Amino acid sequence: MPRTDLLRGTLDLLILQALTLEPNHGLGVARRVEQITQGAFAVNPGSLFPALHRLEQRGWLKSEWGSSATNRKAKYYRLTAAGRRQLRAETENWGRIAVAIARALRPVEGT
Amino acid sequence: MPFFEGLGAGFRHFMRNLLRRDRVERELSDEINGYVDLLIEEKVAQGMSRDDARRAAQLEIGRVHVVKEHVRDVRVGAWLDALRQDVHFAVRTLIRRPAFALIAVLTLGVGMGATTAMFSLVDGVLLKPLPYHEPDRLAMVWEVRPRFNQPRIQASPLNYVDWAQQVQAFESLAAYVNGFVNLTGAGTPERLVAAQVTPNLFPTLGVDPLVGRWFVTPEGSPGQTAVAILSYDLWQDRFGANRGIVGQTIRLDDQPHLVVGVMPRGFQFPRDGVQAWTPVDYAAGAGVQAGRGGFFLSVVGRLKADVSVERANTELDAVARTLARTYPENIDSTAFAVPLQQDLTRNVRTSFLLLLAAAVLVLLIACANVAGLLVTRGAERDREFAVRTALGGSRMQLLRQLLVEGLLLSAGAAVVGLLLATQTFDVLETLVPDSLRGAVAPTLDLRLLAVALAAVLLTGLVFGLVPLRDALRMDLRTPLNARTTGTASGRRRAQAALVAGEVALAVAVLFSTGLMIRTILNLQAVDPGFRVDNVLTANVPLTAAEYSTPERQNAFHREVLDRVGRLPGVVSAGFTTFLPYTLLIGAGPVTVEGRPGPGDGSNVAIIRYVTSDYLKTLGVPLLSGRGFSDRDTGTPAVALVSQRVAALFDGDPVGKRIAFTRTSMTVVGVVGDIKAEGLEVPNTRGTVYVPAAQLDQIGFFSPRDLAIRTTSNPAALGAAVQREIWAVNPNQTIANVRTLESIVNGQIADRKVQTALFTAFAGLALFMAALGVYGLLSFVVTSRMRELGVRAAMGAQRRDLVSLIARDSAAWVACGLVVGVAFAMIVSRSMSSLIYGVEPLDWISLMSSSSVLAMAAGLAAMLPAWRATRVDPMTVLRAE
Repeated sequence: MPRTDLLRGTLDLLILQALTLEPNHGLGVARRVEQITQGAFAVNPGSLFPALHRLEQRGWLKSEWGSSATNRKAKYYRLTAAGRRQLRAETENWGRIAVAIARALRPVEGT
Repeated sequence: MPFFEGLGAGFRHFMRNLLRRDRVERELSDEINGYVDLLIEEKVAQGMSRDDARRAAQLEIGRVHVVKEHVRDVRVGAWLDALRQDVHFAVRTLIRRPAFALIAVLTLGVGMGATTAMFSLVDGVLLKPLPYHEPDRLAMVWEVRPRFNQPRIQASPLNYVDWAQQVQAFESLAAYVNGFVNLTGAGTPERLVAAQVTPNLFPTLGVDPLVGRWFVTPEGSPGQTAVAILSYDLWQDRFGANRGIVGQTIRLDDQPHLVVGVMPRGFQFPRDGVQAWTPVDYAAGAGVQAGRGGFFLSVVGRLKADVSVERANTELDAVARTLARTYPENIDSTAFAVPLQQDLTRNVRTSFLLLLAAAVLVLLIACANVAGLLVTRGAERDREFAVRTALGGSRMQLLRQLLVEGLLLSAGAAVVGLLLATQTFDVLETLVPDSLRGAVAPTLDLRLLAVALAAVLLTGLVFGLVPLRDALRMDLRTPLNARTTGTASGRRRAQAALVAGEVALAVAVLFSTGLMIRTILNLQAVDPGFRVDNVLTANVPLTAAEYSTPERQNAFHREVLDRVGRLPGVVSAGFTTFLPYTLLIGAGPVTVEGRPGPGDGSNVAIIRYVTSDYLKTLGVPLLSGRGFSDRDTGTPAVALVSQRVAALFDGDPVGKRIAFTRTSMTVVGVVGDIKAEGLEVPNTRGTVYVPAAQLDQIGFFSPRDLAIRTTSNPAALGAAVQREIWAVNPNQTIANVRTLESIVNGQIADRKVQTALFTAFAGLALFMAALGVYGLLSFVVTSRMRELGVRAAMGAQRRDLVSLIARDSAAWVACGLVVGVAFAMIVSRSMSSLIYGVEPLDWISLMSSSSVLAMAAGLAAMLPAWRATRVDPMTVLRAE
């Protein structure tokens, strides 16, 4: 598994997570990420599109053209089975890292 | 398998990105446009006016082309895209300077082609293992007789038998004699290239027959059924590849021979084109009458496993010395073994290695040349790099682009080199020694091509990156403002050193070529002892069935000579056993009556049975006594001796008697020696000529080669001569109708091809060195243009300007010449075995090669020097 840097890996993870419920287009993914991170992450198009294309090339997403609710032509991304597996693995991984980092950053006790 | 799934998706996208680029791009635009539209709608829904929403959306997404660029960067195969751009750019850059690209590709290509071709030759002939079982264990065994003044001679049968029985180092020791046999019976009579071999030859080489079996003892012993093995080609052409031929009887030299086997395709031992093998078993008594004084056996042995050639030599030497003490005929004789491949290639090894060295030098010169071009070109590119760096080009991009340019040049050179190399194989094939031809062939060697390519690449990289180094180091503003002079002088020095190196290498190649040319001239001037011009020859072997007695053969010869002699333009004609340089066998010890044989082999003479006009036809001079006449038949037996044989007598041999085997003959005259053993080999054997009419039995010595002296172009007479022979006997085989000149030229044919190759290399080296000088001076003039202009404005004369330009370069070239001469003197030492009649340190070659180079350099310097004198001060100063 190639190692991705923390932030890019985080964005990838968030995008995968944002697509678990239903397929969505680029803007929808961005808004969903903002929503599930409660606005902590604002995704700009300069990172969003490369991330979407990268994930699709890895086989974790699949895209197809569709119409938006307002009848606009848009490209919809959907999580593949491989994408779900990746999400699961990355989530566990993230959990371990988060615990490790939290432990590392805990104020030193009893000096 | 998620990994493979991922891989599959990646590959699909890779192909899509690569092949459907337009569509991928269009979809990306659509996607981003769609995103913007949705964003606008979102903002309108939040209560913005449509125009405000559009502006806000555009602000939010930023520059669309940057977003797209980011997406393109993450695409699989993005590197390929970058590479495509680099290649595209490199091609455009190279095309902008077509002269540079052309010269670089051609010179490097020629250098690579020459090196590859020569290495293919060296590899095919000297390195590739011979097509026999464990060829490392095979060795040739030769006799050495000090009195013969030759490094090696063939073995006498009895000595061979003793070696085979007494030397333990060999698993088996086989022997063979080359010859010809007439194949008669079904179809037209044919003269076959044949070899008489001991039954153990094939097991010794370890090559299985394709059909049938090897010879087995006691085949080849007196009184046994005559048997034969056929070559693949003969079996194909003559017997329709019928496997049933084994067990059938064919007629060779009019004796029935039972075919026992067919050898596989490509098996050519002991020489190219051999068609049939017959057995002879010396161990069982064959060849005893030849004793130890007749040497005609080539001996090849297989060493026991783990036995070195050195050990075999120690043993062989001990056995040979014992034999020399035991048998007077063996006095002083020794023997030695030499690995088979080394033996077969002994005549070509040095020349091939030197040719390879010359080719490598040409490649080095080409590399130096292109390096010089790249250095000067770097000067011109300072500006380009500075501009590109200023515009935000990364170092990585510049580096990548230089690499791509170097790769493109190398690839072009490789293509040229490959084409050239493959074109030369036909010529190279003629250089393969006869004994190896067919068994080995020069083929394109990819390993070497890779090495040559690596050398070229390295040149391109090292010298191509020099400008980059400068570009990275320099203050960006300098080249943009004005031309620098500091780096230019450093570059001039680098280039001058390269040119000096080219000159030095070129002198060495030119000098070697000079030695080769002088050798050829000397060899062409060698007097072979007969007149080469205006003689037509043919091989007319008589079969024992049709011509079973000497009388019948003589009658045939008389009638043919009579008819041929009446053809217009024929001066004289005669038959002999073997023409010079066709077969070197048929020698034996002769004894002067009343004197004991010297017993050391110094009395071995070549024996030839000739018709009365043969010597006159060849133009061998009669020095004293009389020549043969038609009355020299029956008794008394007479002979003519050449000077070297005459020297065996005390005083004038005419009237005295000389004996060969059991025949005693009266010497009636002395004729000149001929260089029978090769043009460049010192004469060691004289010749005894005996009238064909006095030959008492048909066989080995029966005349079969016809020579006809004509008044003009002898080749034109070929058809008429064949007609006359067929008028005597319509079934007679006639082979090798050719001029005596072509036979003699065959002696130096290899040398001529080698010299031609050397000359080609020398020409290339000279041209490239001159090109280097030209490039150097052109660069000097360009980079010092301002200085020249100032000086011209100050009133400098033209000659001052020229000397300013040429002084440094001339010093470098002179330096190259001196180093080159020293180098040539070292090289010449390894050439001593290749040259004839000229000292390795031949001052004529040395002087002429260095002066030719100096002249070429001078010529190359003329155009740039002329340009220096044409500098217009006003133009130069205005450009400031």
